[in-house]
Amino acid sequence: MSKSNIDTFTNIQLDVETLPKVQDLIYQPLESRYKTVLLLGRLIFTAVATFTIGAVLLFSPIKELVPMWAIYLFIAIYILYIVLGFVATLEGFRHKSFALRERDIIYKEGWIWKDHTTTPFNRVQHVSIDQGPIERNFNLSKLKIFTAGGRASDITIPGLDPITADQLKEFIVSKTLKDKSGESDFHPHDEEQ
Amino acid sequence: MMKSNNTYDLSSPTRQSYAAILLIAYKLYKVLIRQLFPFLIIFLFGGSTNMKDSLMIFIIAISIIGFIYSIIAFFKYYFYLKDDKLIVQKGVFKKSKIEIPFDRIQSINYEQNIIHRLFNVVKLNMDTAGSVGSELQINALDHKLANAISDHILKHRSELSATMSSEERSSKEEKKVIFRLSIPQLLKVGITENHLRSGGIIIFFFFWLWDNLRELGLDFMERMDDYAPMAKVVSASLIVISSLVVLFILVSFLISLIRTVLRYYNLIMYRIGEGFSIESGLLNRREYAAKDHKIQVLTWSQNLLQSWSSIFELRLTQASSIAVNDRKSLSVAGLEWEDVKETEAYLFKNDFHELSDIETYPVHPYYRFRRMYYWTIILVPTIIATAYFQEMTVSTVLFLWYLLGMVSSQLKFKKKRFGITDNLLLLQGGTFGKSETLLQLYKLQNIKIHSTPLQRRRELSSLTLYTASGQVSIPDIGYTTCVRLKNYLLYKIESSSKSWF
Repeated sequence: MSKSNIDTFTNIQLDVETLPKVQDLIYQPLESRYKTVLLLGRLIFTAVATFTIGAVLLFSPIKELVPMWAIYLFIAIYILYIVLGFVATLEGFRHKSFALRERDIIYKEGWIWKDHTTTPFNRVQHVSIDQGPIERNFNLSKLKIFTAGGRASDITIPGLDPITADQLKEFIVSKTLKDKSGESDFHPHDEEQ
Repeated sequence: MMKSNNTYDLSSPTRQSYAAILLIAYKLYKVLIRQLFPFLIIFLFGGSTNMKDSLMIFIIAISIIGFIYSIIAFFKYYFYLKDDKLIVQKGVFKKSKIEIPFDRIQSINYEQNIIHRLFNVVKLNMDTAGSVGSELQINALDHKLANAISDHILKHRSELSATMSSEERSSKEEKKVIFRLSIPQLLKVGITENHLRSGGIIIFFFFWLWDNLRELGLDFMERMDDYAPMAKVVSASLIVISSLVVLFILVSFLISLIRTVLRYYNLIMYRIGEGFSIESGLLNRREYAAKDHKIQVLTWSQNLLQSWSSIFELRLTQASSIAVNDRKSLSVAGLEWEDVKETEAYLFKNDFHELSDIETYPVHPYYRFRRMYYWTIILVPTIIATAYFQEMTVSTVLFLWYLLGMVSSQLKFKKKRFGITDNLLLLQGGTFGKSETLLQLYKLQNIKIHSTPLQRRRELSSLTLYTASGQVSIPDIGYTTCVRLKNYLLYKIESSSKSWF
């Protein structure tokens, strides 16, 4: 609208060419100990599920109701499911990675169904760091980046070293503040902890 | 404005208007009736006299307790303004104190149902940005007091998009009627409503009723044998079935007509300053307002009937940090093409002209095949199975449904197109009808690229764009196009210094 806007516009046009294209970005993998956390979670889930199913098979009258071959088939499918579950966990870990750019952060995940989310810093509402009990034991943190786009689009990067997570948070918050200075009255939610 | 502030001491704890007691009770009874509906049905239509008596006492007791509760709730409810905060204290069993800083209040809307109008009070709805407690409602306030409060908050937060009383607004900002729904048009809207939806409501209602009654030990199927042993024979006859179908269609039609009249009676859409305002409703007169900068997405749509009579439905969705609901969007029905264009011109201002020569592109044909594929794997085995078990009526119905799915996949594909200009994104869609979604690029929040294995085999992916009021997807486009689009959109977002809200 105004002249100053036109100036900014041409300035930024140069910027775009220097911005790396998404394809040739180098993605940062998550901490390898996060793989252990994921596997542990999977193990616990599998143990509980197996225990429950085993109890049902052993102590309920299901054996009289269903032919034996069906039970064997079910067990075979269940074993396949467990194996695939572990493969998916490992592959899932391998496919989780993120990349930081000057103006946005990218997180991609998914082995079979791939997702690739980009959040511009000038749309970030607030950033938080989370740590679950298992993660605390492994000295890992989770970085959550919130925008007004809603829960489906918010980025959560798990498996970060707490120091890295802090640095990332600091960096993103400084970027959001800088990008917003002057032009908008928007104040990202103050981190009150 | 000053005068009203002087007459009311906003900083001391104030109760609502006494009409609030009625409103609280009304709300409570509504919930109770909804919960106890099956009992009421029994009460009216059956059960032993003994049961009837005890139910009667039960209902009376509950009504009295409910009313006492409403009175206590009223006297325990205070609000006041202090240090740029709105503070509400309430609670009958558990006391709670809510503090909302003015900065968090995004909009103030007034609402009046029939009780409000009787007592000349308004209900104040405040939408707040932030994670806790999406909105605050004050049930009943004197009209002037409500004005005083919204003025006070407004003064301390100039950004606020408040709906003021109509007299005040007209004196402050120019008000222009964009669209007014006349009675013939209202009927047109009612007639072209989606009657299938109303029909769905009826079916759902009967299932729900039947289910509830059966739980209470009333089984119509069993009773039918007692009362009318011939019923089963009769119900098989074609005349009965076809007259039931006709009745069903008629009732669906009537329901959607009534709904439309209740909702859209005397609908007026205004342009006020840099925003829109809508008033509508027969019994519940609602007034909603939205500032341009708050509006994230504009969508117009037409179902088949509406496109035949060339009227449009328009939705303007507003930013909210919480999940999207109806309250956050302004809906207007019965618009003509010119009205839609006028609204677009107001909303997009300088960017509007870009729409005149916008080029749109189709999505990949895989979009159609994917849908057809889903229909096939779900329905074809079922059709074969039912045919195998000689359930010919079921398989015929399923087969027709399958054909419908195939046709709709084709239509959806034909209508799905997208286009992007310097500042706007356009997404067209629809199955039997038509729809168009428009948004300003700088209002995007987040971008996601998604791909399934089947998409990757064809080098396709889907692009999902998130705004502060929901998402739009461009499905099944080439991967390189997708990445190029993404880069372009990111550049648009990141280079924009405009505030998205």
